Amino acid sequence: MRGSRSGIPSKFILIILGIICVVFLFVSYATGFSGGPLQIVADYVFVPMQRGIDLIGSSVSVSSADAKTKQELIAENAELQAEVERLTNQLTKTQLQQSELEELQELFALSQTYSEYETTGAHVIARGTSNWFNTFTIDKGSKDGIKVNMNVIAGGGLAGIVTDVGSNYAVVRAIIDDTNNVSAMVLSTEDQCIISGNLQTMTEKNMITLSKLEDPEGNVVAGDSVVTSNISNKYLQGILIGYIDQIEEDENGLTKSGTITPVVDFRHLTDVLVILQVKETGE
Amino acid sequence: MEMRIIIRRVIIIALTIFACFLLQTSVFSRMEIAGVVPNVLIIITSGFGFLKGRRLGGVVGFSCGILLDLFNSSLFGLYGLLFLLIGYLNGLFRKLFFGDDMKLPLLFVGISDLLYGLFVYVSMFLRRSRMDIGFYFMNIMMPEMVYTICVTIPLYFCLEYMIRKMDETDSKRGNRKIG
Repeated sequence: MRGSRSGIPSKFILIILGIICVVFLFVSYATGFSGGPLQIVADYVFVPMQRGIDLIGSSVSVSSADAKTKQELIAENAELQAEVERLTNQLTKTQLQQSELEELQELFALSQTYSEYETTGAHVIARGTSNWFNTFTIDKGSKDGIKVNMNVIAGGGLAGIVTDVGSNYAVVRAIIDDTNNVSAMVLSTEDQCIISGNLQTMTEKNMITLSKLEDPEGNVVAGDSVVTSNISNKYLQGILIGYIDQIEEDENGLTKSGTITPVVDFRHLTDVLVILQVKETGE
Repeated sequence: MEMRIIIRRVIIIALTIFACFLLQTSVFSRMEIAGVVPNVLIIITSGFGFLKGRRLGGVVGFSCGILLDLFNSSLFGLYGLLFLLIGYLNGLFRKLFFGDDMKLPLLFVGISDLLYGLFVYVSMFLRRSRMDIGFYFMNIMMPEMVYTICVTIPLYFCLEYMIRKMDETDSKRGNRKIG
């Protein structure tokens, strides 16, 4: 049976498929090829199914949230009311400051640097396929205007960057992925640094690393917020990344490194916003 | 007739891979234990390898790997190569395997998963000078292997049953044609 079905010896199959893989590797290394026509398969076969499963999964998890008791809900409601009041106060104050700021900016003829970015919402429909990397798939693609290198935010902070785009889906690499680096700065002092994802610190204490921080005066302290840098070539300026946990001086005595806690909760990421703008750096 | 059997097999195997991929990315990713998810694609690659031999093991592994490459942002073809080799290597042990013995498949799946972990570590972590292999071993590879082995137990029965049915119907049809 086995021999009669097809005459190709298994060694040939191994060699041929191996060569195909190696060719793919070289092509992808040289040109950034990531599937080409094969992405169509992903678009029309896998993504719809993943969407469906995700829908079922999220409705199941919603119904488990429904199971709260009445007392719990009342308590939570009271808490939220208090929160709303506090935030409304804060908002009024901020609005006043905002209008003042706008007036001053007009006076200085400054163009607004932190202009509101246009975004589009997307669902996370699948997680990365390995425990080593931190990528996820969202349910919008080039049809919705998504392009490679667009920034993805969630819950007020930077979540990741789009690395692959199909017509109905996009793959996003999270900032906590071990291979990811973000050029960032400390908000209070505008000192530049590099934020790198790190599997080890992420597993141990839910943090990622900060390095190459130049801070000769020692003004940067734990708790400072870190945002994307104005000199980053892929990330738009001023998106919150996280808060400094601890920093210490490097052996060279010039730079500092440490760890930061990201603001995004990557374990429970279900909805994200994609910023529909790619940073233009004239490269 | 030959052709029809082959096409039928291809469809069945493709559906299996499809289901397992969805299982891994959409279902098990919601059931994380100790920060890891099981590696379902390793189970079917290894399973097809030692149940059906080098040829099918290699082809199934290659397909699973290319699928992973599509949804990953690393170099295209890396997982393809890795899974191809794992499927082929498992196929070398086909003759060792007897019917209902459960220990051997678990052992093979476990070793395959460890190989996978080591390969990913060496190819994508070590070269960026992440040296602490002990940490990665204890926190990623070991938990993943244990979880994968647990998932193998139910999944393996389905896989074996499916392959046995497939072989039975195929040989029946083959005989009918000859008779």
